[in-house]
Amino acid sequence: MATGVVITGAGIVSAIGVGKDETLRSLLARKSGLPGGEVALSDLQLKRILDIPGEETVARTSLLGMVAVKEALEQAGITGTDDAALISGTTVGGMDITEKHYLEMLEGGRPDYFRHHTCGSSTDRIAGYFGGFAMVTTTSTACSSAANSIIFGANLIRSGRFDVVVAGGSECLTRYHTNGFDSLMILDKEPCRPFDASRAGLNLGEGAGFVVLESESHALARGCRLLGRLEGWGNACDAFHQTASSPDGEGAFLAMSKALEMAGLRPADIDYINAHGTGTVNNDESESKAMSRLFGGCVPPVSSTKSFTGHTTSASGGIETVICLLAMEYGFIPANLGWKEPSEGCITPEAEGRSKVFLQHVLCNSFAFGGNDSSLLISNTRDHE
Amino acid sequence: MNRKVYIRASSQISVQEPLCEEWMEHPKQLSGPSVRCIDPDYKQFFSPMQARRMGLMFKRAMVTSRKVLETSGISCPDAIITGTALGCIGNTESFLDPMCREGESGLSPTAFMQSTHNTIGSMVAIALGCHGYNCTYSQDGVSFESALLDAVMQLETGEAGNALVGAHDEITDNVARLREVIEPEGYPFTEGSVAMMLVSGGRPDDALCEVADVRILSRPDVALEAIKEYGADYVMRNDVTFSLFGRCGPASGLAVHAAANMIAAGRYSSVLVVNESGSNAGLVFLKKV
Amino acid sequence: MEELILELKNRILEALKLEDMTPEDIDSDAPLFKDGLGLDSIDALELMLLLEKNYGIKLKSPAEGKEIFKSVRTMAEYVAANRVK
Repeated sequence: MATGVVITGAGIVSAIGVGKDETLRSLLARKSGLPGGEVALSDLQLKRILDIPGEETVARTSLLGMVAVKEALEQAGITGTDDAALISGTTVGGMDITEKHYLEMLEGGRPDYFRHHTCGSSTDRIAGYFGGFAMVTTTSTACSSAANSIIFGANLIRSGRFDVVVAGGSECLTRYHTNGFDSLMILDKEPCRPFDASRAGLNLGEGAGFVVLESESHALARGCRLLGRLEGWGNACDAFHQTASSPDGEGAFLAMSKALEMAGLRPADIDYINAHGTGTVNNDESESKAMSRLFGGCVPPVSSTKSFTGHTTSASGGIETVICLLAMEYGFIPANLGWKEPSEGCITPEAEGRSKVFLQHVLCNSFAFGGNDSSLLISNTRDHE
Repeated sequence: MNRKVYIRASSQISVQEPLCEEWMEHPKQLSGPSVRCIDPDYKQFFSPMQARRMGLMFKRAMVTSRKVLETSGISCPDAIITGTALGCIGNTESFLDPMCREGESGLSPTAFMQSTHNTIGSMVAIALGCHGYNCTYSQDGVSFESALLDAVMQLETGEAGNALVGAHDEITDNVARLREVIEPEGYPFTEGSVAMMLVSGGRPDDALCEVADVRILSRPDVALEAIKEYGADYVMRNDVTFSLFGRCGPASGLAVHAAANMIAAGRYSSVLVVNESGSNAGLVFLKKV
Repeated sequence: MEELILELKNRILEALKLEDMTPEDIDSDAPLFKDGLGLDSIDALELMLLLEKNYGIKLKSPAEGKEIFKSVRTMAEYVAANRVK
């Protein structure tokens, strides 16, 4: 019998709040963090909260990650990380420092700034803040990084290598990738409108989302509250194009199917899908096709919370997993803000959201450039009332 | 009961002679602050249309991957898992440099699109039309071990029957210069590519060796203690690894490649590749089949 | 026009990193996308950049480029008619 993987802690920071409480209030009040998508704290303010000297050079990705990991560990009641693993997901790493000091690094006698550049170094910095972990690594699959961190973490537990894994992702806004997405002409100057007929692109956001994954036996022995159960996951490659999703959504379809299969559930068992739903013409259509293929005429309620947080790229899988946990705990479906008109080839999302719903099983999708598609199936630890 | 995991085939392009193992008798001595790969003639592998958008690192990744696929007779692996310390740093610079020097207009979408770390792994998947599991790890010097551990976890349960595991990194003039200043002591900074086909179950006669264990330890004291546990015939540490391959992200992967070949040639019955990288250490324990 | 066509071919080879090809390898009237050279949506963006950087022509979206980028000749004709630089 495979070891059950449960979630005992969650931490989140994004444009709609620092911490779960503020995030929940924003979701329920339909208060978007767009335009902007920024976390409303400067680097200096983040350092103050974390008790890090202001003059110390720390990548913003690391700072955001520390805030979310801290909240997750505190909720899980874990004080020592010596025996735990930390799996983060990021693509920009310390690029905020690199791009700010690029010329200085190369020509101004400050090569030391390069120490902060890599993805790995940004995760090491997070780990160091907590006094170190038994094992540290970083996934980097663009927009599905955090989801893949969670999958890798779940495998570490299922294989018996670890009892506790902190997994998720962190990404700060940088000029680099803002200009990058702009060069691909997929940014919308207006707030994004996932699945809407007039959708014209995505809005970037930043943040971090981490969960404490634990083996069920270890969590029960500690007597801590279970926030959810990670019952299934799927990772598949669209293998179509570096920046476009296939018309038939093959990667997305396979990822969601694998998650269902692993959980031993049928499509009809899913109560809500937190879609990748970036608001680009291509993603939303491709993802809708994948959902139609899997769910037939009975697609469950769907919403994209990127209409609240913006597309937080590498952090999105972690942030959206935490949002799903909040949705399950407080019995609501987050709104799909900005949606007004159905689009041919697209599903019709829960534009207004829903309250007083019991969500037993939820799918959380993260699809990335290069076709790195991942889907997490999270289940409620309470039974249907 | 976990299935055994084997390295069925392995291929490298590095500062040593590419795509072969003859160099292992008399490896090239490395000197200077940085050394580039010895590349084969890629015209034999790619048409001009295929080669476009493929910088050297992508070409190395494709060629080494193709080699191990051919050797193992697998056309579409169940999983493609990649490790890269610096990612697609060449393309990153191509986008970043004009952005910092000239401003934010007229920047190349191709350079950006191909600068994310997962470009390598997805490029291979697109070329093969492979829809299987696909992931990329970027944890500096233990990126390879991260990819290998992911593969091993899926293979030991049978979730995957085989996995293409690769580690790829390139070096640019800028990165070489920066690293020389930050870390002046030691072997040259280099680049490299290694691809391996891992298979599980049974007792394949044609495997190079068994992957008996892989760990990443982020507390150095624990790592050093762990070495004794294995009782390996030969312990291969960074001083040997770097003398052969220089200091590069895939160094430990290249070391595993060399060790696997040494075991297959009957030189050792087991090898423990120990890789100390900053605050992280990778351990890969290989045994003869 | 032929001079502009040759100039465009060289710029295309450079922008799209077709290092091992020469202008002689590109048929002036062959389709650039799908068949012919088989370019894709990202290449379309690069061609838009090419027009802006070298000829001062700013297209609003890839959709606008569809007719213009049919072949090297249609590109040259558009550039000749609309160039600012």
